[in-house]
Amino acid sequence: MNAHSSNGQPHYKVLIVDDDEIIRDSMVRYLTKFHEAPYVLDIDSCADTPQAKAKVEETHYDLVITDINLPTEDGFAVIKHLGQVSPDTKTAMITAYKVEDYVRMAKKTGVFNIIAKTAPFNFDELSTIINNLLIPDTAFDLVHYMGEGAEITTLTVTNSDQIIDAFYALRTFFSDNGAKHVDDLSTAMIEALTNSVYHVAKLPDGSLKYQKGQVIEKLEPEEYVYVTFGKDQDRVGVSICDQGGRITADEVLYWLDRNISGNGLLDTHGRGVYLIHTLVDRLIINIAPGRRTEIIVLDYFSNEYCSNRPLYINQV
Amino acid sequence: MRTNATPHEILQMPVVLDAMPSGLLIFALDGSVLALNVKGRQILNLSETATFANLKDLPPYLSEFATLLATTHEDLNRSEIVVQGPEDEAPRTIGFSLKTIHASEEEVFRFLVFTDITQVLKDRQMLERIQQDLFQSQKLASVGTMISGVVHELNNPLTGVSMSTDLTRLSLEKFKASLAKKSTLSKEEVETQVDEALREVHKIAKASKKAAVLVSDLLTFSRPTQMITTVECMQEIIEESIQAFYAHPTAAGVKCQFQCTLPPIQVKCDKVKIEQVFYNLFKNATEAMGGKGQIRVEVRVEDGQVITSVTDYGKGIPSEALTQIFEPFFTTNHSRGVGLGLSISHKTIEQHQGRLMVESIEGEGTTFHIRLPIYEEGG
Repeated sequence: MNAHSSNGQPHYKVLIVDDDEIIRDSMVRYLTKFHEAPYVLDIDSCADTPQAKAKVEETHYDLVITDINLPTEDGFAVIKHLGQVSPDTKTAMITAYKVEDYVRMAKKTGVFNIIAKTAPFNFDELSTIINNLLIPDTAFDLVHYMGEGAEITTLTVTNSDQIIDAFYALRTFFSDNGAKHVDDLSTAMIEALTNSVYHVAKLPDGSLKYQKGQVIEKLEPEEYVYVTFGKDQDRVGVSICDQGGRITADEVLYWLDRNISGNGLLDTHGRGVYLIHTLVDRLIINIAPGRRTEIIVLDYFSNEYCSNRPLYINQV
Repeated sequence: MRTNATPHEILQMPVVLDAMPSGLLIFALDGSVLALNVKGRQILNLSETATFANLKDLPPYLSEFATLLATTHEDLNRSEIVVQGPEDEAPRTIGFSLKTIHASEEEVFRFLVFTDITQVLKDRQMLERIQQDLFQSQKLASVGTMISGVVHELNNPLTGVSMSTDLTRLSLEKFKASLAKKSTLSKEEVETQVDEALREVHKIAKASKKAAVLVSDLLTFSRPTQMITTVECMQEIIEESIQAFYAHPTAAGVKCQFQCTLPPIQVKCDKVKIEQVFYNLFKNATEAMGGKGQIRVEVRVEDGQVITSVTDYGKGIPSEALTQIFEPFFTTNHSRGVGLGLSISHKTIEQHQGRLMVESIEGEGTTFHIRLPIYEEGG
């Protein structure tokens, strides 16, 4: 954050690197004219890695969004160079990718924010990612992903019976609101919820406090899991949030990788996340180490975005 | 065998003639037949006992052949004629060579060696078909690489179209909202808003065109290509390719230098396809030189082949990229091409039994060599 505008809003400097003139120009125009946020973006752009390197040496950027496939040196070189000259700069990549590529790339580069270069392109998603990166707190809570006037309900799971209650509540919610794959989605969400209830609470020696399936009369307040769901005119969304924050982004990637490669069919971890990913239009995993882990899924009513299933992992 | 026989006499000995695997016919300039071996009779479907004093006595189905032999005075090498008969025998192609032998001052003979090449021709056609099939299957083999290339390459223009469509919509919605807010807008305000939307529409057109070019290149690449070959003069093809290239706006800053003092060199080729190859090479050269400079075209002959070299003095190709440039979807120039041009050119030249090769020094320039077999009449 370098300056404040006359109305007191902070300014953020953003650099966009893409060799496709049309895409580059469109991103600049969208962010300049249509990105709504409580801050001002100063946007700069260039078409290749050498120019990008020169720019980041000259100017401090708050955020750099780079294409991967660039003419002379790829976008990873930009990220690597940034790590040397400006380690606090946030980074995101924009590329045509599949979840398999995402996991591989994220593991390789440590960049978890990968924007899907797809048609149709989801500008809302671009806005969300930029918000999440510039104001990390906005990554958490379903409300940040829903449009204005969304109806949002939160259930607090305080004992094991309520897992079943949550399952029925979600199932009814999905089916009443025309979500796709009602049964699969409810099941997958409950697997995630069950994991949050049984795998987060640990004994002092590090072993699990509860065995899976065990009846828990009463969870401790710090073991409560929050199930939030809501809808607006475009989508339904669900968030499952625990207060452990024990899982790390690397672990999520590890479990996803096992499932993608087919090694994790019998895993009880990760499988739920992978299954959810294959069912919903968007999956966001937020991790605040030691504080909370939140899984957010969004399912759009329109089929427009169903072919691209972005996955984002935010670790603050 | 008498040892004092002359070669001429030996040739006329039936035992020698009949041992030959080819048909042999010796006749005088007046058409009188001096010798016809057994193999020759078999090839021409003549009975072993029939006698022919003169070419004119050959049966009617051979009359065309007989007339050709009687009236041709020069030597013929590897010529072909189709004969059909007697009656409803299947047509056969006879391959033959005709030569004049001067046995002495007075004795001049015509010497015809011939063979039935019907099967050979069929085999050759079969071989060509097999080659074409093989070529096709090699193309199919690269389909895997291609599909991922296509998906990637089409994705950029499509994302561009999608982005600009959204921006057009957002601009127009904003315009509509400002109209609703203020009952009158100044001319400038309206113009600004309209220009903004128009700008996006232009981008849509540009991105769509990019996608369309890719699709058409892809069709060229994947379609089973039928070659329409004719005998053409290499120098003419080059001249016409240069003129065709000059007609293109991107060639504005480029001069193609081509001088050739060699006599016309004939090649059997699909002229349109070869001109496309040249066009591609000129276009690449122009891009490598940043849009302006000189392209040198040279022609030389080596081992029955014509080698045309196209040289630019542009940025050159990194040595690690040289082995990949003929692969589909390889490109060092992400913003302009999709990387099919050289791949198509390479395959076109291979289809002509030729070779397309490249030499390049980074920072100095690039030369492409097109090697094509020279066409020889009757060859």
